[in-house]
Amino acid sequence: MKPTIYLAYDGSINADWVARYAFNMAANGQDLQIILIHILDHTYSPDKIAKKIEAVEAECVVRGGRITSRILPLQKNVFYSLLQAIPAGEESLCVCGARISSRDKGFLAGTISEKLLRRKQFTVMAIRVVKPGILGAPKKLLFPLSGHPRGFQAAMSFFLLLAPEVERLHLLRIMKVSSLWFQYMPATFARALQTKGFTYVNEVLKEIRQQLGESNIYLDAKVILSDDWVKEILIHASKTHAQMILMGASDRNLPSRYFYGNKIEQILRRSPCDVGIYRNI
Amino acid sequence: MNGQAQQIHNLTPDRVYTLLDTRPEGLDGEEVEERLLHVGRNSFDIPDRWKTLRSFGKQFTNFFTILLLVSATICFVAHRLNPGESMNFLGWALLVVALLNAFFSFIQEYRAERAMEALKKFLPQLVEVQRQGQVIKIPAEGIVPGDLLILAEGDKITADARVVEAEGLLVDNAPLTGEANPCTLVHEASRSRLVESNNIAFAGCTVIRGSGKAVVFATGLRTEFGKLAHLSQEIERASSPLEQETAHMVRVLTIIAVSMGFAFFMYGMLTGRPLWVNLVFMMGIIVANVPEGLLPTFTLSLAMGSLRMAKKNVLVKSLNAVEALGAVHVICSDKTGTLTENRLTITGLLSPLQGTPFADQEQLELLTLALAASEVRGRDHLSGDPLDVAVAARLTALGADLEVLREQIEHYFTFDVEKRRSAGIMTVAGKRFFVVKGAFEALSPMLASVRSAGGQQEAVDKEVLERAEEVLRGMASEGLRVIALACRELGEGEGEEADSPSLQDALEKELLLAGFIGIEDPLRQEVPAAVGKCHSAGIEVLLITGDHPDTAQAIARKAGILPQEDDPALLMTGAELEHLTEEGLVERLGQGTRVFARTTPEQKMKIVAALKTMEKVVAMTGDGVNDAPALKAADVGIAMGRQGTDVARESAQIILLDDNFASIVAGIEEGRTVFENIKKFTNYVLVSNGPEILPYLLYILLPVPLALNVIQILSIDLGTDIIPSMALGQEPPDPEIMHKPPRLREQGLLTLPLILHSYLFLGLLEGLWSLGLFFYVLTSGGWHFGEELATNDPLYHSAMGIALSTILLMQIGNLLGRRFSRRSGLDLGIFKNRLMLLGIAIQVVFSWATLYFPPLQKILNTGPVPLSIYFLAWFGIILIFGSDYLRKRYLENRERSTCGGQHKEGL
Repeated sequence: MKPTIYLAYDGSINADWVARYAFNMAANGQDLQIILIHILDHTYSPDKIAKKIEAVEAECVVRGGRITSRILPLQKNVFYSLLQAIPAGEESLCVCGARISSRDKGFLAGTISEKLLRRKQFTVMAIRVVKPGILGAPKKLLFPLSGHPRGFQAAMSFFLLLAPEVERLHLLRIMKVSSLWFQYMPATFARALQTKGFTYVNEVLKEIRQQLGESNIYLDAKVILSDDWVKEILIHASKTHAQMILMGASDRNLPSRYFYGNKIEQILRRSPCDVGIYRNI
Repeated sequence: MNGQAQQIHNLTPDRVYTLLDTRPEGLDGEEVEERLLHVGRNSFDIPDRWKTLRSFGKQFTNFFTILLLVSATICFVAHRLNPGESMNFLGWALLVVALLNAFFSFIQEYRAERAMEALKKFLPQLVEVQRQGQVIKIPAEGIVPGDLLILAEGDKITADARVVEAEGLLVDNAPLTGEANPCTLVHEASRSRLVESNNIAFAGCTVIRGSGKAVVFATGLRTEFGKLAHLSQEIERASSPLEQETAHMVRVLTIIAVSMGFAFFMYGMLTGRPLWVNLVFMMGIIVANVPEGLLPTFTLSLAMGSLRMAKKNVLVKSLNAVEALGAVHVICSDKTGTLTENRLTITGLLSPLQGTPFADQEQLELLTLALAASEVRGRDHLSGDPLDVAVAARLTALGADLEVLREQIEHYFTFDVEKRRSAGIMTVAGKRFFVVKGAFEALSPMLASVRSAGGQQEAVDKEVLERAEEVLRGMASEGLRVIALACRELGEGEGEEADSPSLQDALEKELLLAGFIGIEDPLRQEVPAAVGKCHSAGIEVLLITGDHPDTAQAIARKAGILPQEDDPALLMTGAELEHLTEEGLVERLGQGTRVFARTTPEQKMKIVAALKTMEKVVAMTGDGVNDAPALKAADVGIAMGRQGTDVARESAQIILLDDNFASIVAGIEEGRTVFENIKKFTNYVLVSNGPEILPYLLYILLPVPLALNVIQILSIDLGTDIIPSMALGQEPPDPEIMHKPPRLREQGLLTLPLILHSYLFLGLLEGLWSLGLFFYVLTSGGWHFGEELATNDPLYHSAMGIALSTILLMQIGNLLGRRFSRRSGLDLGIFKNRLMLLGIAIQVVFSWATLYFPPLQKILNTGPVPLSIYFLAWFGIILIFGSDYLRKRYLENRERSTCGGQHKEGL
């Protein structure tokens, strides 16, 4: 069964920009239905919201998409209301924004998007758009790989929703080494780690090639030994001119209350391109 | 859905406004505020209030610093337990060394910020934007996506923006792309890639001409220029080979020192010695094992090496680069200015159909016409476009009077980037000519005829044009840039309406192709020899250029980078590189690819990464702003002193003052010599560790007095050994140094043969002879084995004095032997090295003063011995030098018999 895209629309400028991603994903997923959901929390006036939603719908129609908008009353809070509005299960893909919260604390930490990612009730993709000119159609993607035993399985469905526009896909496997050890690591140990990393990325590359079949996408993989993986991801994004970084979220790496030191939060804050944080259920 | 996924450059201006949620009147205040909150300020700086403190703290995680701090703590504890030993002085000394070490490393790191400061100069402070229908000037940091930028001549662009209105808009993209030619911007939708679109105004670039409006779609670090700044700031240079080897050496020596000290501390505790005695003893063992003076001597040696390099036009910004340059396996070189003279010269003037060179008179005629389409200023010192200057220079060389010819030029039509040609009207021999000079493709549609042999003309047809193109291709394959020259005689009154804007268009018809001018930037004379030297030194040279493959190939052949035979596998274009994975590039490099043509500066980084994957030590040259990340990513970044930008110079470790490739090779020779000399004095210094450790081992295992105290050890390590070490650092290059391959990354400074030779051969010899004399003095004075001596006993002082004096003298024999791995070390060269003579003098004077100079006796707790015993100490010089020489002869003979006389690397 085809999934339905639920666009959690809060009326912000980031939400407008995130909507473009939803349009493209719907097109790439072969005409997926988009359901725009706005919870009336009165951050913006109902008139303004109505106008904005109208513009979003118009844009979607120009793109030939199918969109339905639902403006829903607030129940308890926005998070609860969204959980009520979006059906649980794999068939629901919630596309939401990662934006600075009103308390200026973090882009994901403490936001509704973070709660949705944690909840694992449906598939979620939280996006921070910093380069709106990409219009939700990134051509160069950077996938940092954490070395998950399931390889690229968790990321594949998200990648496929963006794949038709993608021209270059860069995989980055960072083999983390502790800061003290990193300075004095013998060359043989470094080589062994690198080989391990390459074995992993080669498997992932094989998996992607099998899934894509005949495709013109340029695929490259890099293995880096580092004591600071956030820095390496950001450097690699600049080096490859990536237009989007796509990262998987887990309970371990999702922002905690100590959000400033949190790695995902650092990437969202300092990224040279748009960032997508995804999680399957 | 229709699936037309487009980006901002693919859209028409009205859609640009819609999709960036803005309008032709610009944003309003509320919108700006919201966007500012979401994407942040248009700035490269990431606020990080702890950065400086963190960076300073990081310097204390260095193994050497930790060791110094731990040693200082032990000294303070020992002083607290037993104040009489004055261990607190040593503690303070170690603490100061640790702090200085951390402070200098911190300053070095902090200097990296300068590249960012240089980059910031490319962005304006204030910009003009349109908001709510009003054109206002605001600080550049306040720009947000959706803002409408007003572009005018001379403006620096502050953010990446999509042009929506353009009137003759011409921008200089050189800081970003390295492209020297300006680029025309239009407002129409583009089908090319975003970074190559002609409707995007990029941050960091400058408007040269025209005006326009553009909608911002990326700010700060998200702009292409921002990414460049981010990379220049964030990429950390890998530690140099010497840094890695030093770290390894410090680690090994520390482990030996600490484990030995701890083991004997435990032994002392178990055998019932007092705690403070054991602590002091442990400190002694550690101090004896650690060559305290070695690391400062490394720094001094590198500093002296950098001074020698400066004399060869190689300015070193970071001391580690001195040795790193000597360790390079690959040099990735630019073409223009580095391999070539960066001076265009006419080297071919050919007839367009036959391809034969013109005679002198014909050359004069052709170049006279070419001058009509050239704009050259000055008389003695010509200035203008390099091509035009080359034309004028050649005319002067042929004997023409430039002043007279200039007077005959009636009108000049400036070079048009889009048309790729310039033109002029000139009177030659009483006839008026309209002349066009430019790319053949730009001229060919206007041609009516082509000059043939004997001044004949052939009408243009397909076959004639093909013949002309063949001549052109032949010239290009020799690496020449080919300029076509066409003209026609003007009729009466024709071309006299000089003010008419369409005059050039009206005249550009029925032209005669008069000839081809072949221009090249000649190879520097010294380059082929320098490349040859690199090859014999096992160093690969790669040419990375933005030039046409033919030009790159021709220069690479002349320089000796490529063989004369044609092999397509040795050359790669930027387009191929773009589609190659890093793994694929490693494979191609392994197959021998040496020339990269039509590359972009950012592809340099890809090449560096591939070479590093191959475990090569890479030196990379660069001059442009966008070369900064590659210069940081390479092991040795080399910027050009003359034509380099400030950003490149700040990002590099080495600056070539004359931009000359041959200077890099001279620097490599110096760098290799520095490493060889460092090896020599490391060996020298470690030898004295043997006689320093041995007394402590005997003291703990046998009931005998301690032959050397900590202060005496430090007087050797931080005193008398320093000047001789520096003298070894001054030794001249071995003539064979550039005939050896570069050392492998894993080939360390502290090798097993070096440890064995230092500790178990020469060190043991020094230890045995000095201890022999120590016990001789004791027993001569009536001491019996097992008898305890008071620390202030004069006999004990005399015995310690002779032990120290013997070590100092024997270090002279060691010093001479370290000059060469196989030769004796006694030759005339020794008199040229003044530091060496000074070092020997210091050892001699100090050995005497230790025994007979009361103030020093008091400091070191030493006393006099009879002269006959002092002479025995002198015999130690012959003993150590002779034994080492016999070892060298033995090894040489063994090598001769096993390798047929070939010299092998070794001690």
